[in-house]
This record gives sequence, structure tokens and C-alpha cells, in this order.
Amino acid sequence: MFLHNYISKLQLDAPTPWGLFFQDSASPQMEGIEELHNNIMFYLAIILFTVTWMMISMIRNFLANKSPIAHKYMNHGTLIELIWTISPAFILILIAFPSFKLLYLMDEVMDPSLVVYAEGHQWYWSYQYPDFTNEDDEFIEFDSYIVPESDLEEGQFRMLEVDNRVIIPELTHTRIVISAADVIHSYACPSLGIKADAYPGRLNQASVYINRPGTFFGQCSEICGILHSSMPIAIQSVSIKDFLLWLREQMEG
Amino acid sequence: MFLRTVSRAVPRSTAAIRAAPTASVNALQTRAASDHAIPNPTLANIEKRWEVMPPQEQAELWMQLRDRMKVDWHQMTLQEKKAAYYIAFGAHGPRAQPPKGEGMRVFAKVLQLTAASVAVFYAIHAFAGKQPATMSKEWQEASNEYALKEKINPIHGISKEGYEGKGFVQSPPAEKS
Repeated sequence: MFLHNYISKLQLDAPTPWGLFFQDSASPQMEGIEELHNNIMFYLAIILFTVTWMMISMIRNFLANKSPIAHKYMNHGTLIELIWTISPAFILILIAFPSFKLLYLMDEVMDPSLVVYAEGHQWYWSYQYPDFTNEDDEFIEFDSYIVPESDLEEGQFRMLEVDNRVIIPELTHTRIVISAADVIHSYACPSLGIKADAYPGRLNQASVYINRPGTFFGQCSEICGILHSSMPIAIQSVSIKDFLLWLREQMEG
Repeated sequence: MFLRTVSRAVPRSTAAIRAAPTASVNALQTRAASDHAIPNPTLANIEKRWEVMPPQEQAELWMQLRDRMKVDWHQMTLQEKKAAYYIAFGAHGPRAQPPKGEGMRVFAKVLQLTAASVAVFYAIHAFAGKQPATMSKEWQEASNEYALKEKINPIHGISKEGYEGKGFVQSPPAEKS
């Protein structure tokens, strides 16, 4: 209980001050990542305690004044060498299996109902919703620039707020297609468990299924020039009804 | 096992032996077992003399001891055993004891350098521009309201039911200007 309370203080959706742990997850991918992390931490704890115990007992039992000729016997031992070669290999296998399983699950894009195209520019993101066109065959398209500090309304997050957010309906399989116009960028949003490099001339994709309404922030994660820090990502998840209203507003606007 | 370890220890403890003419070293290495004990005065106080001995002399002595170790060890004198052990495993070369107070000196130096880096940090800090407007208690309290409105952090953070933490508040109130 104490540990849970303690961890709760560290966890976060948007970054919070002194946050040390993952942001609150909002997609199955992120839940998977968190679970893999917890699994690996379990092995890590075992390794940490075993190695610490070995080090402490070595230091205690082979002190120079207690065992002055210990180095005389420090030659080699087949059994211990087998143990310390095979057991790490075994642990790596135990880590590799859930890791690959998650990797390939995340790679899979499940029959998406919506496609959002995100393109990185120096230094902003632009978005297109190619699924929806108006009477003139134009689809929704907008740029998403950072809101400078001087224009922030009180309470808004510095260096994270954008003028046009990406709006995605909750509980909908969405494919985000990612590319770049000039240099390499990277589209990342920790709460959704996505991070995909954006290459000029290439299309990358990430699958998103947001399981709750909310606002999720991310940042460009590939150093892309002097204002790399000034091209944040803000994704807002809304109910399908609100999404359709937004869609109509965009089409008519 | 002892002999094998000793023979490996030789070049390490008498590194300068490599500088000696190869022929003489080869000659030394092919010597046979010796039945004659090394006279005690040669070995007396070896712990104090070993490190100041010229390398050639060290090599000579070690070779003599090695020849002695080729015979039954019970025939070796106590002095010889002690000398052989000291040369192979004694506190010299890489096993030398650190000088007295070395730990404290290292500790003091580390402390000094840490203090210097802290001083550099605060010196740079003193010249830094003022913090952005968002780093004030008022703004961060507004951030809490904003986060609640946006349903941010509903699992472990501010939008959680019964949340009692400080949320985004981390700075002192803004100074009135």
C-alpha cells in the first residue's frame, strides 16, 4: 500500500514536476510497454540482489587480513563459469520472448477506421485527414505550431501547447501515417506508447487505439535543428459524437 | 598449483628482467634443481630489501629460489620458504600497501572537486535570466484547474478520484513587481 501510494506520486498523462515514472497510459500499446517494463524490472531486481550478495560475501570473506592468500586460488572454475554464462543467457531469453511478442503486436495495424497523416516540418507538425473530403474534394488539413510563452493563457503548459490539436475519437482504431518534409523528425506521444521516426520521402505508421478521453502531449524525438524543442504534439481524444461535430466544423470552416 | 602461480608471478614482480640480455636469462632458466640451501644472510630481511634490489640481483635470487623449489620443499629452509612466498605474493609491486592516509587524501580531493563544481553551478545560476512566467505558484494552480478540465492524468495523477497531491504546483508565489 505504501509502495503504491509512493509510486502514484511519481506517475503522470502530461509530464508533471519531478515525475519519474511513465505517464498514465491511454492505449493498449502503452499498457503492454508498462507490463513489459514491470516484467523486466522483476528480473532486474533478482540480478541486482544476487550480484550485490555475491559482491558483499566476496568482500567479507576474502579480506586481505582474513584470507591473505586468496589470490593464490583465483585461477578458474569450470562450474562457476558455466553458471555465469548460461544463467544470463537464460534470463535474456526470458526477457526476449515477451519483448518480441509486444514488438510484433505493436507493429500490427488492426483494420483502422480512421487515418491521420502527420508530417514533420522545421519546426511544426502538419496534419491531414484524408478519409474525409468536402464537396470540392478537399480534405481536412492544418498546421500545428507551438503556442509561444507570451501567448499562453494562464495554466497552459509551456513548450507543450499547440494552436491546432490533433483530434482523434476514443475507442477507434486509428492509423497514424508519419512522414517528414525536410529532415528526420520523430512523432512521439508517451501516453499512447507511440514513437515513430518521420523520414522525408518515406511513410511510417503507428496504430493507435485511445481508450479514454483526454489530452496527451508529446514532443519531436529526433533532433531536427535549432527549434527541435519547439514542435510539440498535442493529441486530444474525444467521444465519437464530438469528433463528428469537430469534423463538420472543419469541413464547413 | 603453487609452482605454476609462482612462475607466472616472476615476470610481474621483476618487470625489469625483460631488459636483461636474453642469453643470460635463457641460461638462468635452464638451470637444474639445486640441493644447496641459499645462505641465510642473502635472504634475511628480504621484505625490506626486495624493492630496492637491482633488477639483475632480483632475477638472480629468484632463479636460485626457483631451483630450490624444484627439490622436495621439506628440504627448503624456513628463510627460503618465507622469501619465496614474499617474492611471489608479498606486498610489493601491484600488491603494495597504499601509503598511510591515502584514503583520506582521496576523500578530501573528491570533496574539494565536488565543492568546486557546486560553486561553478551556482556561479552560472547567478547569471541566468529570470524564470518563465509559468514557474509560479499562481500559474501552476491554474495548470491544475486546466488539467482537471482536460482530464489529464486520470489514473495516478490530478484527475484521479480522491487525489491529494500538489499536482503541477512546485514553485513559490510570483514576486510582486
